[in-house]
Amino acid sequence: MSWPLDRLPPISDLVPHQYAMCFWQQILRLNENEILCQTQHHLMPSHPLKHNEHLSVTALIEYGAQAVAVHGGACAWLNAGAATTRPGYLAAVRGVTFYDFDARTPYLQGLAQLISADESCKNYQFKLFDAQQQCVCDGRVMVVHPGE
Amino acid sequence: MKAFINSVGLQAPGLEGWQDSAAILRGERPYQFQPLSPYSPAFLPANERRRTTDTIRLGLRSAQDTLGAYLGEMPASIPTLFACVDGDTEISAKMTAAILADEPMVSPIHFHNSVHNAPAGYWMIGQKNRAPSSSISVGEYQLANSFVEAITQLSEGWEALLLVMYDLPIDPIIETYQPDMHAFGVGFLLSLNQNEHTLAELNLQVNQQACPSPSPCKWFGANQSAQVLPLLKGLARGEAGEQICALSPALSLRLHWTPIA
Repeated sequence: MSWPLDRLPPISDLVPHQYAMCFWQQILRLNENEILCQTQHHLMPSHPLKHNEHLSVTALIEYGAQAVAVHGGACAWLNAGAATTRPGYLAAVRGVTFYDFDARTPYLQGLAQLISADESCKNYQFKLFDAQQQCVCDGRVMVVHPGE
Repeated sequence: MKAFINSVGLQAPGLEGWQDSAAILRGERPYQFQPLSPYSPAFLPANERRRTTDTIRLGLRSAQDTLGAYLGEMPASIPTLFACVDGDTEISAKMTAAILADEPMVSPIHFHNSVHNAPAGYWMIGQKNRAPSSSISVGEYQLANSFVEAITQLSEGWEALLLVMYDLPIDPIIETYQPDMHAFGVGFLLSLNQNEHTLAELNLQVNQQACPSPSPCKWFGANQSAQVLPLLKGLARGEAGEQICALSPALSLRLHWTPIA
């Protein structure tokens, strides 16, 4: 089942990442277990993670982690009907694989899938695709929520 | 975040062996400083055994004491996490002294032992263990980060993980940094599921409050791994309890344990 995307506010209202550090621009698909996002943000000349106008593949991990953050924020919004996102810290990044990546690809898509969750932490698998639908990076992240 | 403690190891002056130290940790016998007895890692081939240093041996004896009751039964293939703040300062001192000599000549064995995961490497060789192993150093945030890292590794689907935290006093040649401390090594066999050996359930909660730097421990001074003593005392007494430790300059970690009969 897919959730009503039209009820969601802009992504920057769902995540702590702001301005140029808010990487995803659009949610294509969402349910309680996964999210698919899309962006052209990586083409931005003033990208905050670009060094000498070059975007390193390692920056893709941040795209994966932010897809996870958008999923958490969007689920919290749709469940509570308000901005009740709990802060979350990236506790682990594991099993990351980088594939061929051309940073000029017209858009990026990010899929984040929930593997397991308890009250204080969540494990996700993420996969990033270029405009040809080729996987450019995948891996797993763990997010830990602080206590109230 | 939750894990189960299935076994504990302890190797410190006056607290040699978890089983033998329980009465002292329960307060039934007074603590008395007594240097650690000589130790030789019999499970290593002779060549490797000869090359071990004090730091490597402290890590190995702590790991061995933790798995003592399990060795043979426990699959040797569990992943390990070795946490040591200062690393092998005897090796660092010898290598830096060698580099400063008129004719610099670094011993290949010292060079070989100088990596932070040398103790883990000897453990893996001796146990014929090819599972993933990490070796970390997190300064005053060692205790909190060791448990967080252990649980994030367990979440990858491993049945169990061996966590070893150990540090020796800094080699005296390093004059500029000499915290007052004694050796301390501790180990935990952790799992995400309870089993028939489980001693306690351990719950971790991250809090958005800074935690003041810990005061030196009465028995072991500034040794970061000895900050785990409140947990060890709770386990020895079979009492639930908690301690708060610093996770980063801005965050703290609440460790809460409940014994399982």
